[in-house]
Amino acid sequence: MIHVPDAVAARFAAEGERTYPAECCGVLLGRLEPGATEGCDRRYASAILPVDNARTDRAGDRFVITPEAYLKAEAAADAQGLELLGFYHSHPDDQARPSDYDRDHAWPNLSYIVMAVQGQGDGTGRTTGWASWELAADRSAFRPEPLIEGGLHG
Amino acid sequence: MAKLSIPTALRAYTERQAKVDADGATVGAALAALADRYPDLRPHLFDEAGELRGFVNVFVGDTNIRSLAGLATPVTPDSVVALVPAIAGGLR
Ligand SMILES: [Zn+2]
Repeated sequence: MIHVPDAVAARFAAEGERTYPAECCGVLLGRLEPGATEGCDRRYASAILPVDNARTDRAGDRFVITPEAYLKAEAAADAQGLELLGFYHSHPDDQARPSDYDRDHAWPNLSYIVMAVQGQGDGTGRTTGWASWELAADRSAFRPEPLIEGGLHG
Repeated sequence: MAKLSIPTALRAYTERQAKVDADGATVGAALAALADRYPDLRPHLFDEAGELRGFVNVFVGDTNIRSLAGLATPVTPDSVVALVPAIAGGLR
């Protein structure tokens, strides 16, 4: 389960619009309460870290976060006393659900936020929806991750 | 011996440890020692043939072992060996 404050969602939504018609990608940082069984980790997102999409050859439908960018993100999380909770990326002119390619490249124990960004006919895009997805530990399924609703203290 | 840095995605298999010391004079030996200690981690690092999976990068300090000697890259107790998941996706 993941809690995504409105302010955090607004930030990744803006990234999807800024990079349209290319895919955006980045890292979610926050606090993690590990669960005792699979799928019951509780994640509390508090910040994002936008990363340049390294798939410059086809940024319209692919994204890559380089190992160097990943290491920088973990160092940034450590420095802020936060954990790397997962990743976000956008689907320009498509749906807020992962593709087969997304699933094949996903890792368990992380949140994958996918957002839909729709073209407005004037070259700009608007983020119209998003959802978080979680890969089963045995890679058998990529399921919608329940949202923890409401405001939280701290 | 080397200090291994475990990414968030794999800490579920290392009792939430972010840093683990592992014996071995090479990266390969240290990773094998890590997988012996945490057997649930092994399938995420190695394929059935015992080769490092393509979706896993290993850095010694700031350098990918693919630019060094791969799993034969030597390590010392001061070496920091970071496991780094490849992160990718896309619409099609
Ligand atoms: Zn995708």
